[in-house]
Amino acid sequence: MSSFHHAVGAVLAIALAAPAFAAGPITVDTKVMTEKRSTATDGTTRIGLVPVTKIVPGDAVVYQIAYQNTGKQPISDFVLSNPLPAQVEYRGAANGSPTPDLSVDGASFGPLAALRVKTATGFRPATNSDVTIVRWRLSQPVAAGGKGQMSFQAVLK
Amino acid sequence: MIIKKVRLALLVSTAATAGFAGSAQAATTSGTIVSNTASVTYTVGGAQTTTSSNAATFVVDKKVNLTVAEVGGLPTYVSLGGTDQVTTFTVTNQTNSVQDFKLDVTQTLALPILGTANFNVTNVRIYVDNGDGVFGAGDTQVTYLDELAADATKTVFVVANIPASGTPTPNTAIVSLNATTEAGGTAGVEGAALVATVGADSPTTEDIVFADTATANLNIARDGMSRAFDSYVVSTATVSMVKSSVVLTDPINLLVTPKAIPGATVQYCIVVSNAGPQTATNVNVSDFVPANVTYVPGSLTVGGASVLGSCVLGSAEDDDTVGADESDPNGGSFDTASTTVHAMIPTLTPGLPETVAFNVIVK
Repeated sequence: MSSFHHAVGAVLAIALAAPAFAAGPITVDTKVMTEKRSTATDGTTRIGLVPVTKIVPGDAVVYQIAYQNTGKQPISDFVLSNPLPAQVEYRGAANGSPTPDLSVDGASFGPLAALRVKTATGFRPATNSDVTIVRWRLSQPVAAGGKGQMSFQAVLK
Repeated sequence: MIIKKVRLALLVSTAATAGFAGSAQAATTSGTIVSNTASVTYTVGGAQTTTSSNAATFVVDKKVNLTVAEVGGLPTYVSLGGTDQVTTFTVTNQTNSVQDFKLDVTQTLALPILGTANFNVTNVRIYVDNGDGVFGAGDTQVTYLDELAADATKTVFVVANIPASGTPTPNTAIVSLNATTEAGGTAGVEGAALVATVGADSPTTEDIVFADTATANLNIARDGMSRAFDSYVVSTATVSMVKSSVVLTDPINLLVTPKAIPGATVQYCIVVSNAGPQTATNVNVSDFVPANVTYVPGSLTVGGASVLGSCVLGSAEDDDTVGADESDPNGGSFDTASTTVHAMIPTLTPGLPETVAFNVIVK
């Protein structure tokens, strides 16, 4: 009898110790795109996003992060965090995306105007070049099958 | 692909040439892989979980740009027959990677603002500066710049000889230095000229993009080359003299309308002018004192600044001989045997005439 309990206990232990990175119900897919502008016949400028091919310092890119809840349960406390690659500088939310919270130190998040950078003599207001992480928190749960996309603009240093 | 029709006014500005708040940092080196990974934390069924995205990557391409510039803004003034005459340039690598640069000098291209070339300099050589900014023994003769780092500048000297004569008389020679971007990577070995990537660009390989712009001095956009011009001008200085005299006193009238009668004191004034264009140095003035007047010892003054041709006296000579005891700025003397006044003006600038003056007594 005791061995059975042991066996069950062991199985339970294994289940709880399942690594947090196991394939969960959320999939996250990241793409990097550039703007391609063309003039339509009616004179307006159309902006398309195309995958990055040619890119040199000074060029602008748009990072798109698409998520989907492939599970059967709603998920809550959804936080999407994107540390900026060292070689790009943040330029703002992309058209159609919710605005992210920004951080310069990984500890506090907020709009750029609320961020401060420590200097030798005190603090100074943060600028785009100080941003190291962009983050979106969803206040509502993501239903089963629900999906969305966040995106932000950056410039290659 | 998402296509949106937008009015320009609504755009969030992302001009491809946007500058940076901290532009002092260097551009990302070509070939660098820029990788972005997002991660999500969430709660499902009471358990907190983290999931990472894929890595979205691209390879930074090579943005070729360079500038050759002339240093000094002036021609190099030379004399006929001069050797190792120098015109100075800088070559700056504005590419986001280390490159070699082929250097070549041409005299066949004209740049009207420098004048009309009427001769060619000879024995043209190119040297890279050793860092002191001046052409000298420490500089190395080269045909290309080796492994010039991103955003680095080298000073380059074009060195040549001036013909001793010619028809027409040599006046202006125009040279231009052209730099061509070549592959870097191996010190001491000159790389091949870069070629812009044609056809489809790739996000996984380092493409080559020419970004140099067209400029007024015959630079063509996007050819990976830059050119600057300079000139050699054979220098001349045209010096002339005007001599005048004024009676200072005579024994009868004294200072009141004196006349040139025996015993009168007359002041001779020589105004020496330089019509340029170059500053003349070591201008020697000689004036024979005629037999019917007597030089007044100690009356010689040299170097006064003449205003509109007037005789402004210069500094008095300490005595009438040039010797070790010379205490005045210019050298002046009176040679008794030849009754000749000698004066030396060390520097005569165009537009700033100087005077040599002395007194005599009418016999």
